[in-house]
Amino acid sequence: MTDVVKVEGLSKKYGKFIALDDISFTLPKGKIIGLIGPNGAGKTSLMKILSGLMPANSGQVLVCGINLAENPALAREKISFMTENNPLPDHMRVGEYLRFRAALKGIDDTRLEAEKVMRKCDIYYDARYKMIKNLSKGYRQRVGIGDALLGDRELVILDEPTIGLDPKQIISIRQTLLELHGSRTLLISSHILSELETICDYFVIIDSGKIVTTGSLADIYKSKTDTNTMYIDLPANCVSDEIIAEFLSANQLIRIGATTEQNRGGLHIEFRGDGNRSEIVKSAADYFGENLLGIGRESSSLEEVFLSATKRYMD
Amino acid sequence: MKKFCVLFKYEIHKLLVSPSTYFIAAIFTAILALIYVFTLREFIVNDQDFSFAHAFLRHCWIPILLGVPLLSMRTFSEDYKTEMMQSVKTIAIGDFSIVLAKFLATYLFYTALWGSSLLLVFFPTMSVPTLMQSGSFLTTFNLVGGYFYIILSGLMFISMSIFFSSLTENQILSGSLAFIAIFATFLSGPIFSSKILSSGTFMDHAFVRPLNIFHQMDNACLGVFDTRIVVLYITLSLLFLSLTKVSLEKKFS
Repeated sequence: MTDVVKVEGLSKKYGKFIALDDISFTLPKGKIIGLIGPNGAGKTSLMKILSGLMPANSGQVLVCGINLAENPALAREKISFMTENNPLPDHMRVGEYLRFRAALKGIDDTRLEAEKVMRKCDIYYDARYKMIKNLSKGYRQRVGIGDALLGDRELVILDEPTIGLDPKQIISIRQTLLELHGSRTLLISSHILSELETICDYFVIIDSGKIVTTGSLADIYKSKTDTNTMYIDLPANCVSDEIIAEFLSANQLIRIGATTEQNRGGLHIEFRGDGNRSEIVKSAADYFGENLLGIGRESSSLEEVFLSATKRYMD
Repeated sequence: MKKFCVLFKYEIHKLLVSPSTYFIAAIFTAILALIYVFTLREFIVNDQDFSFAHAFLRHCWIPILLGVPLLSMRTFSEDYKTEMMQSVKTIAIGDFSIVLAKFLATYLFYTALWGSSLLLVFFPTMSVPTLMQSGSFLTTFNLVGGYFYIILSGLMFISMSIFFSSLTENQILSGSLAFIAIFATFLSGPIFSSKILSSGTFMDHAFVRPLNIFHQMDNACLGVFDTRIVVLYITLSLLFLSLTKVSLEKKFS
């Protein structure tokens, strides 16, 4: 797996406040990467440093093998950055603005490039002649994303691309971002974890200026959460509470929750234990026989992983 | 260079579509018109040692003092406030190119405003052709010298004001700082030279007198130019542009 970004021992201080504390990580090429962390964790500082907008106090950033501090002009040719507030000049039209940005990025055929991204972001027919000041929030975000996509940069950094959008607009932008999967690396910061869970296949979790963990959701889940949580699905009113209690007791399992599934009319029981998983499955089959509708390990959401990884939020 | 040209064109476009630009132009023209009327009245009523052009242009410090801060207070401050500067800085473009593009766009507008004042100067000669024949009304060396001085000193005043604009996102504050700095520059010459001249030696006179802006203006309007002043203004302009670049760098560190 090739890495598009390699960060080593990066630190950033604002006076006495340490925003980033000697962090190191890599970002794999072609992935959609979610950067998550609580407010003040250092996400924006990290993104600003990665985009070359702000220098670090120590450490180094390699973008496609180019040292950002030693050769900033060349390294920044590989990066696009959409900042959180997505500032746009109100006095320009959408197409005009994107052509201006394309020219600033050194692209020769600015008209063609602007049209390409406008089509990709679904603003070609609706908004290309509109004044930016007349655009809705959703269209403004799309223009910002379009700007970030100009020039086919290796690394596209998007800070809160779906903030303030309605569900329909979120779906539209999600679709746009998913279409970029594999073609370039996207680093997306957002507080909408369910959104990131849908589109990202790699995560960087940061807290208090330190990298808590990196990897796919499954990898992070494995390392950061209790993997011994399992469930069984049973038909309602077919298995007595005594048999369930006996099963749990025999396998030294602790019941942590039970819900009645309204739509299927069944019982969903969650439990936790340190025993061998295959033996638990075998035991469940013995106890419940043909009544056992399902058994497995509880899958976790990004939210649970995030809460587990940044434990201070649990309090 | 290509990116600089793109940015320069963008800055010109931004100035042309902004209503505040026309507001500033209106104020500037109104000030010039007032000076023009008073100078013309003075010129007609009293006997003058100077030509009309000389008498009119020696008051150029008033529109400079009031117009330049208004013209340049938005250059960086507005971009900081709207975060457009952050957006520009995400692109691989040098800080000096950003500073130079903003400076040249503002300077071009400043020059255009002064250029339009030529209409005021020539208007009486067009309406009353006999004025032209009087010789004392318009003289070429007065006009060329006076306008050359205005264009030259504009380099320094605009770069100075842009520097103050790069310090803060508050436009009122940056405009006020620029006003104070320009006012102090105008005031320092007479105060400094009068103190030295009253007690100084011949060497002091030779060194300090050319630094008096009003003395420079009078000389320029008479068609006399000291090359040391040209070098001084260009050097100070480059100094303020460099300071603006440093200020921009600091803003993003």
